Amino acid sequence: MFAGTYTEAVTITKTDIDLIAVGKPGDVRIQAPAGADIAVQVAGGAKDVDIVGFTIVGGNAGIQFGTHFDSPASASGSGSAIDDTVFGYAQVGIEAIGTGTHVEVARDTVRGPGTASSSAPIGIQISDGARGEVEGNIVGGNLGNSTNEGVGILIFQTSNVEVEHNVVFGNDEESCWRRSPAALT
Amino acid sequence: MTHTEVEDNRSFNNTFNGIGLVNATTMRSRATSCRSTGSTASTSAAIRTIRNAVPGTATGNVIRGNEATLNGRSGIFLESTATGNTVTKNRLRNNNTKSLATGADAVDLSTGTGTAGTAKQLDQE
Repeated sequence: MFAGTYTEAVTITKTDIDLIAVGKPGDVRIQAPAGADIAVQVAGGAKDVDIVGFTIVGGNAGIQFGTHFDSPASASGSGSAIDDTVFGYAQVGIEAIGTGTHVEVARDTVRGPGTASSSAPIGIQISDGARGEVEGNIVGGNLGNSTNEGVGILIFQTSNVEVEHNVVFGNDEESCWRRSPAALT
Repeated sequence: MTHTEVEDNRSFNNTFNGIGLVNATTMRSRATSCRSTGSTASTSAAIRTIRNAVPGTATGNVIRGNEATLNGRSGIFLESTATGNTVTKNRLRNNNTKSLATGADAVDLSTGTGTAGTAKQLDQE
């Protein structure tokens, strides 16, 4: 994709799609339309979908691989988010969720609002059976409120995830690892 | 959560913990929310996993080579049900900036037959 701001919600359901931003960092921006839930989603069982070099703004989620916490593998989404900048999200910057989803999340900058938020945002979330690697990211500014904490990196209800070489700062909780069901052990 | 590796990360200036292995029961008070996964019908279900989950475990994980500084409560926080994990060669400095009674560079609430009466192996912190 060439330089410019694309105000649209993108959904990819085909395997082996590469979405690559041309130019310098910040040149190609995907802006979720008002009311859109997800700016960029990979789902429908798609694999090897790479999202590289974008600035992605808005939505409840910036980038989401997979569909739902209890979705079948046929609704999963796998691939990578590399060298992207994600901000302006209400709930989560980059998310991988559900059985069958496998992701590489690398060298991204994920920036929360930096001020107390009623939505308690999460920078990067790998959860509910999704697996993958979270490496070399910068995650900051995910702040919640008195009852809900913002989290930099959340690994939840899953296993076999690698979290390496990230810089995580200025969140309520830097990284949280939560239990997984026995079936995944 | 099992078989997750947490290595060579830098964590600083977070409000509470740098790195946490926690069970679900503590979520009632801390109530970290989980994204609702895009479906209106799933909103409560996603949050339920945190707020209403039965106590769980974090077992067989490795926390190695991380640096945690200037976090509000602790550099590494291990709940009572975080057992059988390996924590090694981390650098933890100047944490518990909020001077909390439950804070320190490293907090381990587990008990067992591991290092220093905990339920895990601790080395070279």
